[in-house]
Amino acid sequence: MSSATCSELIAGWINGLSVEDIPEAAILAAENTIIDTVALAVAALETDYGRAARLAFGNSGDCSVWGMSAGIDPSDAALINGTCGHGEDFDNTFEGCPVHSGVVIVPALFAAGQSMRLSRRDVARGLVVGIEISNRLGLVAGKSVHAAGFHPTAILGTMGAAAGVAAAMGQKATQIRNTLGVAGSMAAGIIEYLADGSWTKRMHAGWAARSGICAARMGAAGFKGPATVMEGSHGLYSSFAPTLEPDFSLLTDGLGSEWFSARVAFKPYACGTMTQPYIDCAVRLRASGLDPTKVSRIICEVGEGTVHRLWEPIALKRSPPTAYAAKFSSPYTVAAGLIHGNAGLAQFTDEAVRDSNVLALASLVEYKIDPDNEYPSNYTGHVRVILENGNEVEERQGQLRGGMKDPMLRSEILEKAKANLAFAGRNPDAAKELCDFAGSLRMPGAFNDRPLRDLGRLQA
Amino acid sequence: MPITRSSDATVSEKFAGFLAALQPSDIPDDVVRVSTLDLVDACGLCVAARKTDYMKQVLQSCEASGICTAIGHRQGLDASGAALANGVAIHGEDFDDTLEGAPIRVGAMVIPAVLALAERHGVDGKRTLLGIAAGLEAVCRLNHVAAGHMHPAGFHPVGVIGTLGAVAGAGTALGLDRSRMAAAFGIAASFSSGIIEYLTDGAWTKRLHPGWAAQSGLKAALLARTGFFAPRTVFDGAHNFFRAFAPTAEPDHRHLTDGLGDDWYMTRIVFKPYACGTMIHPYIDCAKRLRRDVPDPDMIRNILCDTGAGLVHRLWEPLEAKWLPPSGYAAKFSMPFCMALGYFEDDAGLPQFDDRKVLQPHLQAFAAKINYRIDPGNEYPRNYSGHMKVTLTSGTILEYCQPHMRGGAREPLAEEEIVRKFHSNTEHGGWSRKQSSSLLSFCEGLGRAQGLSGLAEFRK
Repeated sequence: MSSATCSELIAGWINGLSVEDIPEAAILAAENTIIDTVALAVAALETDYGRAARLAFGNSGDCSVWGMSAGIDPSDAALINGTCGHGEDFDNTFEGCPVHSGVVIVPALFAAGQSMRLSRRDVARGLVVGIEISNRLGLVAGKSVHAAGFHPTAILGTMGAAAGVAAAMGQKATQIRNTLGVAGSMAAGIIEYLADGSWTKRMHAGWAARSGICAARMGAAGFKGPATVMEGSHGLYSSFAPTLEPDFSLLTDGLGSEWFSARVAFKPYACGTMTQPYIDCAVRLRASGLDPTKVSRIICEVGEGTVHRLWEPIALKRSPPTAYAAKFSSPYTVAAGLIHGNAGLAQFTDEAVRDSNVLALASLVEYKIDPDNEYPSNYTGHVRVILENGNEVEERQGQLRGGMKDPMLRSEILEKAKANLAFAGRNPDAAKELCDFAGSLRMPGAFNDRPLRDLGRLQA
Repeated sequence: MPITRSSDATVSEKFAGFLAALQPSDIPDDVVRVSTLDLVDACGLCVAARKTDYMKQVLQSCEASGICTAIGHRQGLDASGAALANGVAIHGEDFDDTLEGAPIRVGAMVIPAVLALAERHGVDGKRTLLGIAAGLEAVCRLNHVAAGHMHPAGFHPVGVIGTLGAVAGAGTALGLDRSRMAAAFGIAASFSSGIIEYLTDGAWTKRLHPGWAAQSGLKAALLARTGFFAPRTVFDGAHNFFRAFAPTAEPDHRHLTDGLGDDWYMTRIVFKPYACGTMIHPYIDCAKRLRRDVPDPDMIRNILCDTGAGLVHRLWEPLEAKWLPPSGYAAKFSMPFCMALGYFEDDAGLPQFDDRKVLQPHLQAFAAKINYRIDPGNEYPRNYSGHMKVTLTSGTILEYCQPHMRGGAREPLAEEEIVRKFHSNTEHGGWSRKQSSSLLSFCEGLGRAQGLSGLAEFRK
């Protein structure tokens, strides 16, 4: 072959990369991703799906299921951590293509780092590479993978995890190329979970992490994968995004100078993305002293495109049948924000969504289509409350918080992790330990995530 | 797309109901016979591949040790590792079984999954054999639903369908009930993977696919056992398995619902006499006959082969590359080179597909005389035939036709031939006749075995 393939270009970049070459912003994003992902995974351990995954995949070994004391086989640890981390759809994402990198890359790199006895800096490099490749693959894909019936986090995450583990292992360029080629054959995940809200979506993150590790081990051993896995006539995009005319320059141009891994988006609230700016408004109104018992009407100006998903049928949205349905109800989430000042995991339990105070307030929430609303090019929020005494208060949020235009600060990520640990019945102050753990990865020394096994565990 | 009410059984539930109710006494004799012969053929192939580079690499990539057996290898593996290794070994030389009518490998995905499960979880021989029969049947039926539509979409049915066959086999051996078996399909469909980009450069990912499918199916069965919630509509919902992997098909679900237990599709499994692509076999038979008529290759000016349109992109094109395959493995998918081997060596077994052999000038020169012509009347894929029109330097024209594949329904290989192939394969792998006979007895006696502890004796 006369010119280098995409996977060869990526391999060349990874091969020459050292931690010192990575800009601070990308390292910080990786640290934030660790803090966010680990706390979310711990929060889901005792859910029904978390228990099922632990029961099915509990072979013993050297690796850690965060928050659990037993040592677990690396593949199984990656599978469980990823499944739990993605369980509530509260984990990080990427603007441009909803590829959730944290719940795939962190489980893969931590299991690989522990089982292969890698250094902390190797793991840090692998994390950034994994997130970078996942996000760039997402930029190439846009909406096309989903449109073909496949889950982008699953398909693209497998490739990102493989690249990240290969980077952490210090693979040579040919090994990395083979790793990516093999990973293309392991990429899996259909979206039929949309039919009934079944749990396979959650599992995809863990499976992608596990597959990425297996692919990297095979590539390291010399097993030959196709060099043209990305752009070949039967390659990844041709198969999983057949309607797309891929622009591979988004994948390979500016590697090492432009860092998409620095641009991950974090979710402030544990629910659907478009409803989040509305919750910001509700939370601010609550903080300003609004008394939710003195409300007579709540009116939200909305973009027409959000109505069918978040507002209608309005009677159902005001009284969501399940916790999962509540995540996609603007009346519920706005009411929860006004009453609780938050919309975290605690507001989306089966009990919380039956709270009569919240439901009573939700029944007062109505929408008004604003023809000038910028949706879908920008996500905005607006809440106008008419009080019983006739006074009105109003809040607006001009963009989605957590994304590039309005990133979440480290302190906010930390608060979110605290709330998630508390939700799991753990000591919320352990979020600080988690923060220190994430920060330690840029230091020399062996990687060891065993301390995370006891994260926030309260003494019995 | 039909909308399924929750009270109606979905396609996966109907098929799962058949598998969940299967008892050893339900299995007709010819089903037992084919299952056992397929096991014999598969085990011989495991031994045959034991010294290859790719098996060394696969074993090197398996990090977990355990009580499961990769046949022909000393190392004890965990269940996933054993399923992966045996699956790669069985299909590694493309010498394993296939299915007429809807071409796919059958045993390579199913047998390793069921053996590993049985060895790890203490399943007796009778249930193990039942699992193998069920898994083989599942692959054959599933592959008829959208036959011929996965390859054009860029997917390898061995990987994609194979995962479902493996879960059917493992789930049946495990005794999953109907709803858990249906969930097992829902999970496995999210693990289904395998793109065909290996066609570009002969990469080894084709070999990987059955092993990866086997271990994925095994994991899916174990997860389903816990009650993990997976889509019920995996075969007939809006984003179902067939829509994702065979978007151009009109799936014929009757193959999963009609004649279950009466018409056993797996009795139409074909055993391969030659160690190369199935559709090439009848052409090799023609070449062997040509040698008898024209022993001097210099007397042959050129050869024109009528062929089915569906064979061209895999086995004929790019033609110049097919004349000069770069490796013994690539030669297995070259129509012209396989015919050259048949002509000069009167066979196309494992010794013929050697990396040094592809460099031999007399074989290359013979291959380069061969061209093809698409015959719109060719019966492929319903029937595999071979055709040669040979023009001699004298101007004489000779025609050869092999009207069907030997080993298939119209001319099955006798049991003695399968046993002969088994011994020749174990010999190729460096085993003594004594070791070989002992493995043969194990396979033939599986249905009466208390458990699979005897399998560990073949770790050598």
